[in-house]
Amino acid sequence: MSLRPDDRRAARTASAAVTREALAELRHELNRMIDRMDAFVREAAASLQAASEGRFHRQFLLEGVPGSFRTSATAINRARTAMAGTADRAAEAERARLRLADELESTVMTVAEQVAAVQSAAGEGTSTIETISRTVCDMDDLARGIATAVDGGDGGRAGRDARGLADMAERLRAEVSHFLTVMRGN
Amino acid sequence: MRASAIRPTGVERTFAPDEIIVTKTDLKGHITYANDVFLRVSAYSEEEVLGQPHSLIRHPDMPRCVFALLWQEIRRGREIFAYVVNLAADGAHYWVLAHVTPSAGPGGQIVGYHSNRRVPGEAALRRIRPLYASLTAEERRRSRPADAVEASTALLEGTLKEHGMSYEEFVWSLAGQEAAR
Ligand SMILES: Cc1cc2nc3c(=O)[nH]c(=O)nc-3n(C[C@H](O)[C@H](O)[C@H](O)COP(=O)(O)O)c2cc1C
Repeated sequence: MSLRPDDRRAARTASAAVTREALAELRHELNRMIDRMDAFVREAAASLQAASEGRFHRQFLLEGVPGSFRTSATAINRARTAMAGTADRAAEAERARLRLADELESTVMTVAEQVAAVQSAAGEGTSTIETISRTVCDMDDLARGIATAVDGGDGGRAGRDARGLADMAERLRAEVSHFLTVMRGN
Repeated sequence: MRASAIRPTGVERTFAPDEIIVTKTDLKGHITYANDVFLRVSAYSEEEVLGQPHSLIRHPDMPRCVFALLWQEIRRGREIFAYVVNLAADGAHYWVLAHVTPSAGPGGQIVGYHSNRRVPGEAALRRIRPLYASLTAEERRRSRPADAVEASTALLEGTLKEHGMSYEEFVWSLAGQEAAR
């Protein structure tokens, strides 16, 4: 069936609107992911910083920290409670904290910068929502990993923890750049 | 400006416990980023808030001394938690537990500010509402803004001293219940 020029124009307008809507949703989805990471990093850094300074009343706020991020937050809160008793473990957590904050923050920065670049170059952008949900799943994996590392089943050696975190952050970074390549369509 | 024209309707709005309201500002407190939850709860479009001072959503029931303390802390590079009631574009209001932090640039210098807000617990608000009411009442007895801040700051400090707590300890005595929820 062939379309009359009017119909064709209407179809084009409709499909442009769909693309615009998809892009807007995509942008919110990415922003939510970045905000969630950012909130987690700021909370993790600040609550452990406070604990290392002996301000033990400052807790890791669990509100707004969903899913497996919550598991890490709970673990950090447990660590904080334990630290209230032992200066040794405060130093250990301080090292883990610095490493964690650095790795995660640079990941967030990378995502933020690259997303900004993609957004300004955009034009395509449908069918990427699925890729994003996959990346978000990977981030959940990362968070679960952090929970395990911070919990440190066998006593939690700071060095091993930091290396584990760095590996996970590296994996995430690789995922993110893969995802961005897909998004750019090249 | 639009903010001063908005009359509070008394309608209270809230958001889900697993949501966070996020905004970022430049060094002067002008909004550079607002997430979708902020836009929904504040009833503004993104175009209406970007570039605006954050006092756009200032509610008249908020004591000046809380914002004075907020700015003092973040300018020093420190985080602060505060219970804040905000005014939406349609006159509704919403309470938040705000966490405001400086964002550091590569050289460690402060390049802007960031705020994550969670839905506060009702038990905390039962303590905060009367405290803020007494602080704003104290401010309304002064005609000059500078005198008002000074008077309410003194009242806040006096109240904290009575309880033998610092501001941070006080906020955490309320927010701690939420962390444990
Ligand atoms: C990151 C950040 C977030 C802020 N969030 C709010 C807010 O949600 N509501 C608010 O009334 N003021 C907020 N402020 C404080 C405002 O900048 C301002 O000090 C306050 O609204 C008082 O306004 P006034 O000095 O004009 O009375 C925020 C400031 C910063 C830096």
